[in-house]
Amino acid sequence: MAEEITIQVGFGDQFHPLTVRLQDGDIPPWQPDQPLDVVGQRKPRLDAVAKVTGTAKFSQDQQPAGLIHGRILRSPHGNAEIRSVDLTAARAMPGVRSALTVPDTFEDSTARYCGAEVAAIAADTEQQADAAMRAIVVDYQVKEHCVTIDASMAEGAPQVGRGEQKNVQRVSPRTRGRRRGRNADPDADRQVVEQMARREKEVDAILAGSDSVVEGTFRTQVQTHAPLETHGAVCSWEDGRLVCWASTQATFGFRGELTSGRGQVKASECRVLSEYVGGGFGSKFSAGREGVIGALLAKEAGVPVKMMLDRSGEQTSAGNRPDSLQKMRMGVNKDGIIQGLQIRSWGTPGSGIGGAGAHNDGIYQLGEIDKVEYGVRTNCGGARAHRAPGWPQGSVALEQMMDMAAHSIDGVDPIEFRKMNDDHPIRAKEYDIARERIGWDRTRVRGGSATICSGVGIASNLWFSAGGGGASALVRIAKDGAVEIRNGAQDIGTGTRTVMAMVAAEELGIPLEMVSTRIGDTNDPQGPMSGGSTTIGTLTPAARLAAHYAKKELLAVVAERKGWDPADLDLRKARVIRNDGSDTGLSFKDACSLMDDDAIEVLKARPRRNYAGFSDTNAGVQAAEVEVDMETGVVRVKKVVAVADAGKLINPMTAESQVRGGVIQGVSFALHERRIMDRHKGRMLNDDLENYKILGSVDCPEIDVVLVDVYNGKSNTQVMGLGEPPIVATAAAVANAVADAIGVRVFEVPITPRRVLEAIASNEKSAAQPKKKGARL
Amino acid sequence: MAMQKPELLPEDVCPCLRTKTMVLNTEYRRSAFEDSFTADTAFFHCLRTMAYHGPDGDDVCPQECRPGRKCYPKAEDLT
Repeated sequence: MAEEITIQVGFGDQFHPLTVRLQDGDIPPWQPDQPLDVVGQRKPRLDAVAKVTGTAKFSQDQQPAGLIHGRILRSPHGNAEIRSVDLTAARAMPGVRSALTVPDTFEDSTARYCGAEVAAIAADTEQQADAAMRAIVVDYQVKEHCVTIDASMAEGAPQVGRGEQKNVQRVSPRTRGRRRGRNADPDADRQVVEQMARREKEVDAILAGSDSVVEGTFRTQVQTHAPLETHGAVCSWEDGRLVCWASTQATFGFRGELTSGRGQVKASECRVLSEYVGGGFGSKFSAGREGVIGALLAKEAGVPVKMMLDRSGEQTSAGNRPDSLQKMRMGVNKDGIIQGLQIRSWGTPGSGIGGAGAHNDGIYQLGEIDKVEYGVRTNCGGARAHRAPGWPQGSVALEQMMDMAAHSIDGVDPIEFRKMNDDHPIRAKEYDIARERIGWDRTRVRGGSATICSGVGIASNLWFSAGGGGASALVRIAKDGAVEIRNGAQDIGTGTRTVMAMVAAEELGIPLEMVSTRIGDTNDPQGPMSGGSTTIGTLTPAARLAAHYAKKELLAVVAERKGWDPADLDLRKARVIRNDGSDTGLSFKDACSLMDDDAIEVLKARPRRNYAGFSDTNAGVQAAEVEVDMETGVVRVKKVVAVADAGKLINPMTAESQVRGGVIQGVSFALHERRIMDRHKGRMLNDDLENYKILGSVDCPEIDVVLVDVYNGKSNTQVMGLGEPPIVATAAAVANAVADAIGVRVFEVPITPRRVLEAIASNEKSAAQPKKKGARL
Repeated sequence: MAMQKPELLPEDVCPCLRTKTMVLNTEYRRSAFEDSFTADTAFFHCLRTMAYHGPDGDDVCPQECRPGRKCYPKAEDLT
């Protein structure tokens, strides 16, 4: 029978009781008045020293005996058919051990973008592999290409895809129905089209009846994935079993693809190891062609193969955040309440069609919404999930519309306007914190004749993950007092390793230093992928449960050996104590030494369901302060205040680090990052880290992170995800701050000096109509 | 080589279809996966091509990867 308990949920001074029925075997969440020794403390990462001293071994660093080197030959054409690939000469080159072609291996004779995989080689040395690559003979049938959405959408544009694939295709709303095979519904799409037409008419009417309607057309550019460690793996076959040291966000997913009978590798057994991962940001959920190629080349060669992408391959082929063109109309009444929003958006996921949507209708109460999204095929490398997919680009448009709408109704303060249209209880408090810490109401030099102008902007975050069941953790307490916690999931740099150990240490009543974590090995218990900001929320309840029951087993041993009542015992500060707090005279290590066996091992699965909790979503608010040089157009982000919440904070230091990372990536998206394509040659021009601009340390603003601790009651650790939400608002806040500073809006991200100067010039041209200086647009 | 179909995939969706939510390994992955059918930010790839298009060159998605498509596995290859 599940136990029913009443817990306190909430934050700050807003708590209320909540009755929950504990799932079998689960334990109550930590309560606000409960003293905690480890959880909630700022703790440096357990792997900090290993990482900064270079002793941490990433996939790129693995050197199993006999290692040889893989290379991928890529298409030099923007769009082509591969007529044939001749490996004869390449195979005869010195040092070459194995080779394959993409048409033979992947049943794909299309090279739909410059950089598409064509063939692969493995050789004893990198130089030999490079030389052999030059000996591969490929016969291409070159086709016309389109590398921008404007070119692809233009009348008479060459076809990007194949067969009947259109360059532009509606992707939302769309039917769930089957378009082929039995039970296919030929009318399903017609019904969607009719619903769309009705919706458009309804929202048109709502906007027509609104006191004010604002319109805007916004663009964001493609942001390529650029993790420091590129995609790939070191693959080795040992007695018919495949071992991959993979740079992945999903150890078990990677293994699943290589062991699937549907894939090319079909390994009967595969162990994936990812002890350290040099970033993923959403692009490393699949083994990818490079993972498959590595496994196949190693199998043929009979020795381990390192198949890590080079930087050009990474920038062109390892995924990106799609661009966007977003047209919006928003209706608002004089009382500040938004009545409706109309959205039409386009984005390119590369030569495919889905996935390039923009989340520009979340966060606020926006009234009635009419939204249609289109995918636009281009002959470019395919997009992938990218930290908060769809959100930063959607937020850039929506948050600017919010400011424009606020301005249109007698210049209502943007923060107050947001509060009028936002009912999130946590965010309501976070607006006030951001306002105070950015100095929102301070007098600033805005627009006009000043050379340096400054401004502030605001935007909001949202996320929705408390994790879920499906993960297990194993806690091992050895007779000598050593404690280890294990899970097979990966730590992609977020601090998972440290946080798991902290939860176990808290439950076992011992210092963090006494716990080690083994992570990133599919031989260990099943863990989640690092995606959707679900990892910590999924893993920590399992870790706490395993530690809890391991503690019970240890205390049972102590009670039996000492003749004490096990129900009267607990562990705290590495001592065995009684429930009244008195010390038994026994240390944790003394207790462990009483075991008959070598160790206690407890494996526990995370409870399947989450409890109702305080809130299903994270909130979060960011405010940016910028300085703009009106003569050069250079924007400098001086400060970002990032107010964030993620349920119960296990380690504020690693949580803060997540927020800082999101802000840095967000400012980089706002000011610098964009894939530049040569429309004549069809190739990416900035496929390296010199010409693909990413925010550097010199340009990095002051980042003031404020964390709000929320006892949300969703699970026994109450943790919510924090990997993605901090990037949602940043670029939008910067864009609003720039508009505030220069008195005119820049509708395109990245906000380059050229775009700033063009906006200022256009503003000066329209100066015949006087505007209020410093008015928020 | 016949193989068992991933349990998440509806009966007549091609067993070669893959997407991020299928490796979520959490209890709610079923709803996340089903939501991805109509999500505007979901990507689907084919295990055979490891690309967003199938061996027949057409798009990979749950609506299209159904029986009747040229590259859909033959009945004897399905278990």
